[in-house]
Amino acid sequence: MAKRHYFIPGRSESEAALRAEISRMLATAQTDLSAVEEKVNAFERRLEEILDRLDDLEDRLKRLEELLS
Amino acid sequence: MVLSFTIHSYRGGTGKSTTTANLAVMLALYDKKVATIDLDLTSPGLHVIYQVNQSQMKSTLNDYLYGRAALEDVVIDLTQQLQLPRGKLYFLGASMKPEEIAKLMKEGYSEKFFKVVVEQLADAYGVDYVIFDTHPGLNEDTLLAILSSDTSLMLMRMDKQDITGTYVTAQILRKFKKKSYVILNMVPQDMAKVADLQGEVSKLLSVPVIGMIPFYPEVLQHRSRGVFILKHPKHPYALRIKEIADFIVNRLTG
Repeated sequence: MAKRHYFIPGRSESEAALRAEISRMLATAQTDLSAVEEKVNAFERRLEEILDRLDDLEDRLKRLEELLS
Repeated sequence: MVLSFTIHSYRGGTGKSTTTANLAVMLALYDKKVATIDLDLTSPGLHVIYQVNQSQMKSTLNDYLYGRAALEDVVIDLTQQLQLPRGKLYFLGASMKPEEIAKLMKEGYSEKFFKVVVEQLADAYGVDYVIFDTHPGLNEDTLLAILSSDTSLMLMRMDKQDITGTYVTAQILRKFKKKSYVILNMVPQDMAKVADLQGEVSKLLSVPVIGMIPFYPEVLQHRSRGVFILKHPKHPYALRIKEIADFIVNRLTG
């Protein structure tokens, strides 16, 4: 008969320490939120500028195509 | 050697289960043995995409977690059902019963589960990859899943809330020295045209961006009718998934 694999429920001692560390990290991360928001806003502005330039480029290409046809 | 990874997102509706299902199939098409585990315990959805009936799920991941069923009772071999020409695809589904969901949400899963299930899947099925489709958000159990697997793939949409959440998640994972990667999903078509969008996001998050999947309405419409890339192997979506699979096979393995 083929071997069957069971999981034995229970928690290791190291898990409590890891969970405590995760909780601590989550709490710390939340206090940094204003700094995070500032960085994300700057990124969004940069992306918006790139998209605007892309739109502008597409418009110019369209006009050029119209002139050439 | 087996490689385990989580597919995670800060927000729900980012396309985690769709990406997991399609990526797993693509890896199987590389002639790999892949196991997918539905850890989105509050709203399991992988079985819908794989079109697995409740009658096929005689035992669930919840039964395995509580020692009520063997791994072999939970694993469903989808290789034939999905008519995969090569490789192997296995699925471990979570219970849909409200009382089972509530029990697991209350008690959480143990750290050793991740190590044990990967070892047992390697021993019993010789798998190359184990993919955990996690519950979205930043909570203790999801972080435990991420930290207990070899690598983390974070799925992100290009909206402010998701970018902020992924930034925070990436910061936390870095503090734990956890290797993680980002995949941009459902990227609006105009944004997808931006040269080196992946580089820009990577610079912001300080995490490598290994894939960029534009928004394709046909993928969304297809969701509950099987695995998209099997029905549309030449669709651009399939090519994007292939690029990510290439990265996993060539850069993450070994």
